[in-house]
Amino acid sequence: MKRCGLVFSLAVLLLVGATFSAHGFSLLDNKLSISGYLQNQSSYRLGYESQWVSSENRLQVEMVGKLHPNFIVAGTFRGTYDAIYDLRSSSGQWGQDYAGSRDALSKEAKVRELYVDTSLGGWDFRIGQQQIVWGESDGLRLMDIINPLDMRRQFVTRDWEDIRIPQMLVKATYGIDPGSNSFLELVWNPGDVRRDRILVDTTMRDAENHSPNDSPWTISNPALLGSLEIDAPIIIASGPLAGVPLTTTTPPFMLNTAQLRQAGALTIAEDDPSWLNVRNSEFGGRLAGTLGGYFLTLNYYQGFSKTPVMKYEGGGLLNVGNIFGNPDVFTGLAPPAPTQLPMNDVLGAYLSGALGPGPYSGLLKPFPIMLRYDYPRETVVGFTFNKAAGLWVWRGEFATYLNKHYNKVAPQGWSNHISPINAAIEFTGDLVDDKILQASMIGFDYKRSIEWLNPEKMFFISAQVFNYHIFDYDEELRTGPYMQQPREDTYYLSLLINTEYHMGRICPEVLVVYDASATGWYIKSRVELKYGDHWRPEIGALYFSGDDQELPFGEFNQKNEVYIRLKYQF
Amino acid sequence: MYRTRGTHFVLAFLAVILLPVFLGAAELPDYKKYTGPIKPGVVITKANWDTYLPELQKLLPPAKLKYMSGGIREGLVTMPIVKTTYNLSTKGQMEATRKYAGTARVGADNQLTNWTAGFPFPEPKNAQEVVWNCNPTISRTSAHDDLLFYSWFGLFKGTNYEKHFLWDLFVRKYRGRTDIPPLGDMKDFTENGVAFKESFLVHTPNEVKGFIQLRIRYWDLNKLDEVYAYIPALRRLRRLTGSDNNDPILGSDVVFDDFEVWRQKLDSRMKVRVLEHRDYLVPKTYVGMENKPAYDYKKTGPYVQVEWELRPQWVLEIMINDPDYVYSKRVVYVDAVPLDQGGCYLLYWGEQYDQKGRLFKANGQLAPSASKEGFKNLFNWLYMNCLTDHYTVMDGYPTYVKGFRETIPLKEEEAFSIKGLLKRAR
Repeated sequence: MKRCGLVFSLAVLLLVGATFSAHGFSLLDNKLSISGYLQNQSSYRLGYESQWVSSENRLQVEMVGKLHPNFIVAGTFRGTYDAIYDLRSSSGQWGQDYAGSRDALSKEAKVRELYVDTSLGGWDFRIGQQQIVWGESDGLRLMDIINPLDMRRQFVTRDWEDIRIPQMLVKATYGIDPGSNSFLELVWNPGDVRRDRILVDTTMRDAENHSPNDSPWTISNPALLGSLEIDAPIIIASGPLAGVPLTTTTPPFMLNTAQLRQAGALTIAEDDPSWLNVRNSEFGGRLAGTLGGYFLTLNYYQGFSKTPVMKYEGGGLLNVGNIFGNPDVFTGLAPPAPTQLPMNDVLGAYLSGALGPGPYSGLLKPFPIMLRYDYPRETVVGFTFNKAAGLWVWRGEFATYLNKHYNKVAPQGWSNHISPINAAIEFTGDLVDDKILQASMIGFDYKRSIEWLNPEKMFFISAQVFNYHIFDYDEELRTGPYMQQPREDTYYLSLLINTEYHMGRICPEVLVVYDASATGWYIKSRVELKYGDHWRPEIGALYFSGDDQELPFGEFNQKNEVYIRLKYQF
Repeated sequence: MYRTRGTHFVLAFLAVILLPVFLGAAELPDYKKYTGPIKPGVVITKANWDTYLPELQKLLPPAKLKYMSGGIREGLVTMPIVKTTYNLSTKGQMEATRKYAGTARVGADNQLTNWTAGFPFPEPKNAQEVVWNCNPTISRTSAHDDLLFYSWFGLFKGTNYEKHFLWDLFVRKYRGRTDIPPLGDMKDFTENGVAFKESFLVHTPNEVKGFIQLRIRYWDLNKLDEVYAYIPALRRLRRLTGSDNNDPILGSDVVFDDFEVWRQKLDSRMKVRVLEHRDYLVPKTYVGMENKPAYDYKKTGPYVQVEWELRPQWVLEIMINDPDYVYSKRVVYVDAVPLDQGGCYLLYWGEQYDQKGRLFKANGQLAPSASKEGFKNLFNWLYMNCLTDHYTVMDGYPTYVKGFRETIPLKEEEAFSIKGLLKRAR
């Protein structure tokens, strides 16, 4: 029945597609052109969770209006309807695993891009909601730092043009010398601050179990204050809650931070940046041109990080007993010392070290513990180059993040034990540190005719080596907000190969990315068929491998997929 | 002593006798006028194709004959023969040709020297001089100083339509400009050695809409093309190799080295000779947009109904002598009407043979165009794969025949710079 539903969904797509028989539209004496596509992409999750996880229908309409030779308006609308939420039952496996993500992923309609192009005095301006892309890299982003990504569906495996989040930007380009192709490009974001969108479960649930709002592509729980392990049992001694343990009664004495969070003992704040606040401006520029056969760019950008760090902003566990009405709890002391005292007194004594280990002066502050997803301002400078040599094109990209922010813990490391958490707060003050990060890529594109494999079209082979180096590296650094320890040097290798058969109508491609540091793999293979003017079906597979919860690939270890895409372009 | 003298004599004798052969500088063959039954007034149709076939085999290049036989036999088009027409080249081109006549030279390495502007060899003496008269790098018969061409490309398997794409093509030549300002040599040539720049912007289909490519070709034989592309799927600029000039474009039969019949740079390894100098059947040149031949791919597939005329052609064989190159040789057909009688050294048709000696690809004019001022170009063009019977048909027009004042001269920064490329990028 459910499969019938998927077939029905595709049939609707076919019928609607058939109504767009034209190859785009031109109106008003070619001053307005409209084109776009309609597509269904259905994905099937492989492995122990094998099931259909999406039947995403998309309508994208692209418009260009030439209102005047010097005033062009362009826009892109995209509507998305993921039929899987209606095709699959809310009970059973789907309901148990992913039905709770309906609100986040089932429907979406928005104008993705809308901008005007105009020129004035040698400057070309593009003003409005748009994507601006810098750099030379494929697959990983170094200098492509202006727009964030929407990774809620299939992570970063889709074309970035599809998942970049357009922003309200002003781009001004000035041609210096056409002969050397030199130009200056300035970019200003007047405060339309956006962030990477990725579904992260922040409900502090156990990583093995799905939380109610999980989507098929939710990243598992960051190991941050998942459950707080303290040194002593705290059991209510009297009153209506007598006998109720606030921590577990046997070691390790786990404090349920999910409950504490619900009760307000732990707050995690996140700003919702107000739209177009000039104080939140981001800006940058690049100078580009050819020199000795090289095409070079020098880049500068200052903006907000697209991913957060977890910032500690004060507070502790003192007086947390107020949440429970400050009942008496057992002190664990032997008479004649008091065996029961009000919970706040006991916690105060415990944090100050009077009841055993301690003191935990980092947490010896009134509750709540205040954390914040912080997106700090960061500055990036760098350069890119490319050069052709015969059938080879060499590419390079070097981005220096002058103040890349990380979470930082105490030398004893990070765990859910109260001691290292307390130490981290005492050691760092706010759990955050910044370092210079050097992100570098060297790669090549190579075209080669391999006649025995394809007599009619060359192969395109592209390979890249990436290195991320953290200067003044500390073992205490953690990648926010996941609290994973970054390496001083991280290496990635990528290989992309594609070609075309049957006069460009059968187009296979394979992309392999290897995380040499964490020994994780990501492979995307696909075949697109380009028969006729309109239909563009594609089948593909996504494969991830690596240690569980190791970003970026191990985390998706159990999320391998095959997909089929049926696209009708007009 | 005697032996030495004798050796010198033999060497000198061989040098005198063989030098022209080595240089490919043999005298051009005499013109052989066609006097057979095909003449103005004759219409070749499905009904009489077989009757005229022996004559057509003499008057059409082999690939062209194969192509036309499909269209005629299926009744999609006919071949009306009309009186030969002559269209002078532009005023600036003719004046420059006269002004600089006799100054240009071709070296033993096949390279053109001392050329300033116009046709370098108004009265060619050998194959090399014919080749340089029609060489697209300097020729103005398919793209003048500046060109803007709106083009539809249709792909066909036999007569069956497959798909199409649309692009706008911009071309600018930086040397020897004679008609469109700035005249003479442009700074990009004098300082950087740029021979021409070319960019195109794809409008359709949606999957490649917005793809833009900028190519910079240098005069220096050893300097590779500089190629940049804006790739919509990446939303950014990408450097491309300038050496994949035989890789088909957008799934079509079009390869860059076959643009304008023969874009491949003439190098010292190539050997050129004239095979024939006689009449061939050539599509008539249509003057003005109002005379553009009607074309509807839904009715005639890869065939365009045009009129044909008998014109003298030089048939040149270009041995490429590069085992790594996709072709072993090219045979090209060049208009041999004298310049002052309305000739223009138009490269009408070219056929490429693979390394196994098979006729592999062909391309050329289906319907040449010209403006009243003498700017020559095309309305329709054909690229064909002779081994697979796959065709790519161009249908469009240059702004020489419509919108000249609004579009020409082209704006350097908009059409031929990366900044301009990024401005058009979506």
